[in-house]
Amino acid sequence: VIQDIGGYSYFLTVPHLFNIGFKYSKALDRLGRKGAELYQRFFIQEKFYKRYQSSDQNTPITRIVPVQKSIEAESKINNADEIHGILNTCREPIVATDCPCRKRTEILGIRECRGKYPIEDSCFQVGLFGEYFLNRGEGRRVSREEAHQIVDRFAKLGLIFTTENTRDSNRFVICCCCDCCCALIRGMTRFSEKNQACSAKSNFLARVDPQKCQGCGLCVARCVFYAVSLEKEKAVVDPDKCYGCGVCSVTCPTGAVKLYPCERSNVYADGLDLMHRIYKENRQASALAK
Amino acid sequence: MQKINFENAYDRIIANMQRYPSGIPTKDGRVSEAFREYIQLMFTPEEAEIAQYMELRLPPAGRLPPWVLYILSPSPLGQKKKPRKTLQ
Repeated sequence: VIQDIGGYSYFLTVPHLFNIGFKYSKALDRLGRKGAELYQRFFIQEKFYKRYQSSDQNTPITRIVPVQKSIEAESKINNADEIHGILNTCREPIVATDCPCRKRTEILGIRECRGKYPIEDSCFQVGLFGEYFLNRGEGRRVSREEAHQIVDRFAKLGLIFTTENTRDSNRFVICCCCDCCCALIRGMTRFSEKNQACSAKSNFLARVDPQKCQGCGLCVARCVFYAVSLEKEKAVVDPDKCYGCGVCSVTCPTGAVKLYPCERSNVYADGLDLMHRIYKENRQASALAK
Repeated sequence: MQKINFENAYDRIIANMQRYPSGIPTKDGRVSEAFREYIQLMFTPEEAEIAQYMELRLPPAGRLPPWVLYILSPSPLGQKKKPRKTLQ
């Protein structure tokens, strides 16, 4: 668990400690099914997932980022708003590992997306995290070009991209998430107490051009947040339910569904800014509860 | 020769982790037993012996991905202290 990088010793703590053992890991031999069962207990049954996803005052720790293809072409976008921009600006190395969330459900024999979404190469560790994994002799270093190709493929499959809720290019994990295994998205789709702040909504909103929509319903089937429905054979988006992931848009056969910019969630400047806020809000809430 | 108490090493690791922004998993106001067991699986006794002495500090400037910030520093958040180069 402990690695020396650039003259410093690190070990990844809460919440990464929940995941690193399931990412491609030598630690998996020690954790195995027992580790996955313990995770089920403290993370899901004892409900630590809320603190993993957001502060006690609902500041999301991660945010959803769409893929460029889903965004309306005229829209002005920043690098931090879109997955290819994030991959272009994040630090090297980019290391692809197993998705720890799908790995855990696979180990437990409860993975719903088997055959639909892959476990391999679907979690990117970048910068210092990438170095950490390479140091452990784990993961596969990929070029930016290959990372772009992987996310394009995953976008078509219907995976949702999440990363830290920050603008700074100095990030460390880019996740390719599903609705049935993900520690974040399940906050809205599966866990007993819904967490609207499971991940920040992107600053985009899906909108349908009724002239182009043929009412095929593909977008309805692909939306894991149940934000799209068919009314009079036309797709309609509920803006309150839409997380702006763009999954509905990527495979729309007529290009009728597109994401449009919509400022609705705060993106923090960098990790320090975000973590100060999380720390403060959690301690304030604990103090008030006493 | 002093006997190493591994149980205490794990307890100290967990105690340090309580300072993280998100805290640690608890149940009825106490450290979650499932989490305690998980940590014992995660760290070998040899690693726990080292990790218990690792302090949370801010990593060097320019290497600051968000959650990593708090790995090495138990100092109050926001107080930027120079990280030490090696384990003590």
